[in-house]
Amino acid sequence: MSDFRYVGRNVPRPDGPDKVRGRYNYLADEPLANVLYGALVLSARAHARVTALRAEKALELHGVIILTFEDAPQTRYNSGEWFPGQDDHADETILTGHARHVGDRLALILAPDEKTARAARDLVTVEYVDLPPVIGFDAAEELAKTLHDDGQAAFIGRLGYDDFDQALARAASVVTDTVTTPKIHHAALEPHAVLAWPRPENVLEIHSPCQIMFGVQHAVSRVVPLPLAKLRVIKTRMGGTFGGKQEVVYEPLVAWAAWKLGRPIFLQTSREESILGTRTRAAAQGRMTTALDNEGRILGRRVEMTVDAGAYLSGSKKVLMAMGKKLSRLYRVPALDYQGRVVRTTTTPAGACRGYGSPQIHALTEIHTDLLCARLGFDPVAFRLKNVVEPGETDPSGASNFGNARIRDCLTRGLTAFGWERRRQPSGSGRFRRGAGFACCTHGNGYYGTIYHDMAAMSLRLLEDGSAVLRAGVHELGNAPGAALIQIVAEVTGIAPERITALEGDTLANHYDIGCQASRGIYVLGECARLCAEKVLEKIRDEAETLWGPAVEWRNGALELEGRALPLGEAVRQIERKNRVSLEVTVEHRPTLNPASYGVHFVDLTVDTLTGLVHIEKYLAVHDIGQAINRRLVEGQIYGGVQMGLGMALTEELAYDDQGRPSARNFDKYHLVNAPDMPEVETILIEEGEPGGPFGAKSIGEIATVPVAPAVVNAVNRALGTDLTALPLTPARIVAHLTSRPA
Amino acid sequence: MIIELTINGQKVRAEVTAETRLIDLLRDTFHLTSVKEGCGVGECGACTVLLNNDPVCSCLTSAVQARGTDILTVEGLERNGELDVIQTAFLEHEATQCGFCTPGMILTAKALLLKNPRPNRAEIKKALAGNLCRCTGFVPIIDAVLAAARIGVASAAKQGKEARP
Amino acid sequence: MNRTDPLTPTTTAALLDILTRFPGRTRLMAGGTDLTPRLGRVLTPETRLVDLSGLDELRGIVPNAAEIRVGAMETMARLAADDLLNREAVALAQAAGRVGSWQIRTRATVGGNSANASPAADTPPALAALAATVHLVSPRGQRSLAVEDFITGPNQSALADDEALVEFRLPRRPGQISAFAKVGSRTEMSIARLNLAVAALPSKGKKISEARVFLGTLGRAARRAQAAERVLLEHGLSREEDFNRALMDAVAEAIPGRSTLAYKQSAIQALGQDVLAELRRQARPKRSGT
Repeated sequence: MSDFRYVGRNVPRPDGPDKVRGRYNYLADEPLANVLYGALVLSARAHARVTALRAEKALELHGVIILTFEDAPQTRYNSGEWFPGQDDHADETILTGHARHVGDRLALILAPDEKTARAARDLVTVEYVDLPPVIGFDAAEELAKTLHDDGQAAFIGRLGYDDFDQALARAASVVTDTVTTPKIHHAALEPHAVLAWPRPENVLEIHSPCQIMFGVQHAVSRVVPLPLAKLRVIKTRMGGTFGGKQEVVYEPLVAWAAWKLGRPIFLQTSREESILGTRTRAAAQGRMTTALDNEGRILGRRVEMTVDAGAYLSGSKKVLMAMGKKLSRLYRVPALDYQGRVVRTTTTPAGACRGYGSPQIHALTEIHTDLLCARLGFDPVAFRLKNVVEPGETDPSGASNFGNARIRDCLTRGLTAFGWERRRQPSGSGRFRRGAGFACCTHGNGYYGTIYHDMAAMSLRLLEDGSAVLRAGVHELGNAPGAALIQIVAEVTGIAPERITALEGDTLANHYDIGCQASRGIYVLGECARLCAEKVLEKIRDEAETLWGPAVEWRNGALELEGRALPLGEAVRQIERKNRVSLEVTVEHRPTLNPASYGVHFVDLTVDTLTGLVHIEKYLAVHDIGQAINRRLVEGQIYGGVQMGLGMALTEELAYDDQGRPSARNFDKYHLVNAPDMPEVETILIEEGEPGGPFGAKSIGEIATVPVAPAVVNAVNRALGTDLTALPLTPARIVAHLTSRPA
Repeated sequence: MIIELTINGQKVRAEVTAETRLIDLLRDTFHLTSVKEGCGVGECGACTVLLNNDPVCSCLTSAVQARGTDILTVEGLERNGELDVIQTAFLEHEATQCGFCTPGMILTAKALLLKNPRPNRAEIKKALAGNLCRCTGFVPIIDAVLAAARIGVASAAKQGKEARP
Repeated sequence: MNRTDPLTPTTTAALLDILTRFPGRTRLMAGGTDLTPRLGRVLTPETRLVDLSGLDELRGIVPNAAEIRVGAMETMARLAADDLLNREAVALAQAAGRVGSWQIRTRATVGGNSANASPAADTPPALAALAATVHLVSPRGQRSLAVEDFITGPNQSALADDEALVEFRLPRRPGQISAFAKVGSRTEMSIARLNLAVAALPSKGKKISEARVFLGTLGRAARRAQAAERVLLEHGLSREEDFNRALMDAVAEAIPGRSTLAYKQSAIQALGQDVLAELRRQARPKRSGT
């Protein structure tokens, strides 16, 4: 495993120098000439019908154009669809006169400059007739008809196998807990932005910092009557996403306006608009019942899960199902009954968010597991070791085999490194209480074995100077997938990484790819890149053989011919000229496994019982990653995942009052964990290789944030002797619980 | 009104109004697009620039108040094509991911090392409290600033020695 | 001159002239950290932005025999780092050092902090505990007020339309100890959910001869807690439980029935504990040579 030239090494990411120089321009940094700037008229009410939208004063400003919900097509779409024919329930329009959340899109103002557009927007007055706000997990039961004309109170999803009721009947004990997790703002530092640009030959270009270029293309095609072949989506440089830019939000609107007016249009949001008007992590409430035998073996589980989709269904039904699918992949659960429902409320829509339901479902599983151990007197470590899955096991739900599932290794190595035995006893009796906790988790590597198709296609071409271009629809989000693909190609071919370019997404120039989602980047795209590199070597060997005979060998990035090295560029030049063959290959890769990645996080913390503030003393993250392609990039994903998870555990929540008014509109009230509160994070990577992944690699980006919140909650509960289950554990929640508890 | 100020070592003049923020002046008039707007209310630090060597949020600073000051953005950090020691350390520690917070983060770190050439981890964390990053968990950023401080102190000591007769 | 041009006086006389010429139609900007993002919305065609940053007379942390004069345009960063304040008005230096981020402390001014009168402001309770007075000028003359009287309510101060806040004066009390503490939702860079400032004058035998205790964020920026002062006067710094009990009562009186009451009553005990610990540290006899 250690003979790699590049794999596993800290090859610097190619965009680093531009980023530290401030030269890595995002969409807003490269304004187009003659572009119209957009400003959104967003609903100030949680739920209302717009009776009048007065723009006379706005239109007096120079060059101002207004497009309202009355001008816009009312074609419905679902922002979470990513391919034609997906047929998710469609309930959203690009502009609406029926405002369903504070921040819903009513009109688009356009002006020759951004300042005028925003000034004009501020001059628009809107009259509303209020409708009842729909807030909370159960309000939709009664109010669904007022919210959408489909009248659906809930979208139901079920999965399971075997007979949970029978397990219940055989059980020595049965434990039930309810855990709620908050609605969360992704907080990518770059707000949302999009440019739509009508080009010659009826092509409409949409420049978007997106995660699924073909998904944007599909969504735009729902409202702009152009063939897919005329919709060119270019994935621009991106200042973070975390799922927030995975679903379409403003692309269909801006594309439609540009197409209608025949003018390029640029729109970027403020932070407030990004918080109120885009997507969020879905709030969830889950009730888990575990049936156990008297030795602490799980006999079966029932989960009743409610997901709050916010105002529009978006991808929330898929999030709901993704949650359920995790339940059979961490512990052996012989009988599973997952009963899910998605409700819509008058709050900012939910959607994809790092982990896609995984942080929510693991918060439920892992907090419940600790609480049941405490109640029944099981050791939380021994309980887990008794129930975790093993390598090569099959998923009883019928989904993909787990692959080289190393959860046991994560747990055992982590326990020792963390000093669990030393730290497990809570300490402190006065104001400050100390406690430790941990949580386990699993996440996927693509879509194989689900109802969605997973495939990747890319081309690799060797150039006349021996450099290479990988034509892959990369979506660089900050996690450097392009850098990883380059490292893989470099490993196979021996071409130095700095001489390889990996192209970013462009729907008219690149191969089909289903985007940066489902933690498929390294396992699916990475393997595709490896296969490309193998295939191009095969091709150059074959071609070289026709020119120089069978004695040709490939060694160290060059062809070797009777003891003489023929530099790669020279070989390419001769093959092109003499054989009239370009050294380009295309590979379409269809994975045949969707193995599980695993992780266990350990945390030791102190709670100030008077202020309710939690201070993290020590943090260890252990991940079953198969093989790190670039260790430093992997660690970077873990550190960021921990920061995001700590927010979910302790500080981050988009809350609403009973009138549907949001509690936070900017980072002054919506608090991310900042540098002073961020602990140092130790990492252990379990690298036992994953068959089917490039050099044995599997996913890390999403799973890194999954176990954080339950690990923290378990530690707080151990420190305080509490059974807190409502996240985040804000100072107020912790103190309220302590002060209401009988002394 | 017309104001004069120094931006990245160059004396410049610009027309501003009562409403012009320093970030607007830097981005729109001088095309210094390393200065990013992440929140517009001084909570994220992506728009941080140095004003007379102190970090400020350019979204909270009125352009008129920048008259006569010395402004440094990341574009002005390189000397003769050489990266600042902090920029190099950010590269070596892979302290950027999406890169949006990076310019502001580097400038706050620069101000810190100007004031305190040997900060410890806690001092770095406190100094960076107003710079949000959603990607890196701050860990490699703090490592990079510590490394830059070590290199800076070492090279200052070396220069001091060489300067002596 | 463009109508939207800001006015940039460099002397108090010029400022008074502006206040005379545009009565009730000026918007004074100190550090601008609160005002700048809102300028587009608050400036009307009739109002003039008056930038105070050119007024050097409004700067300086200058002592005389009886008082320390703190110019209204002094920044939080300067206050936090000032040697004199860190010796004689520790609570103010501590409060200034806990405002926002470094970026904000670089711009935000002590004058602006009181003039805005945000209930969550950090320096007003410290100034009030230190018995500071605020000094105002207008074309009608000048006047001074106690800080706690200057701040009249949430986001409300006694500053008249034609007035400017020019400086604070802190009485110098040899031997005075003082401390500030706050709790937000993060260690740093957090709006105060609750803050507390105490100044006390120790006398012989672990006694306290004078004490001023002010709480912030309870509806307004500086609210006196006299019962807590009495605990210090009667028992010195030793009765933490009584002191905290008095603070809890003060919180309950200030925000009866408010949903945040239970939390604040708990958190105030932490602040009480921390502030007393800091005061005890300051009251300990200094080792020789320091």
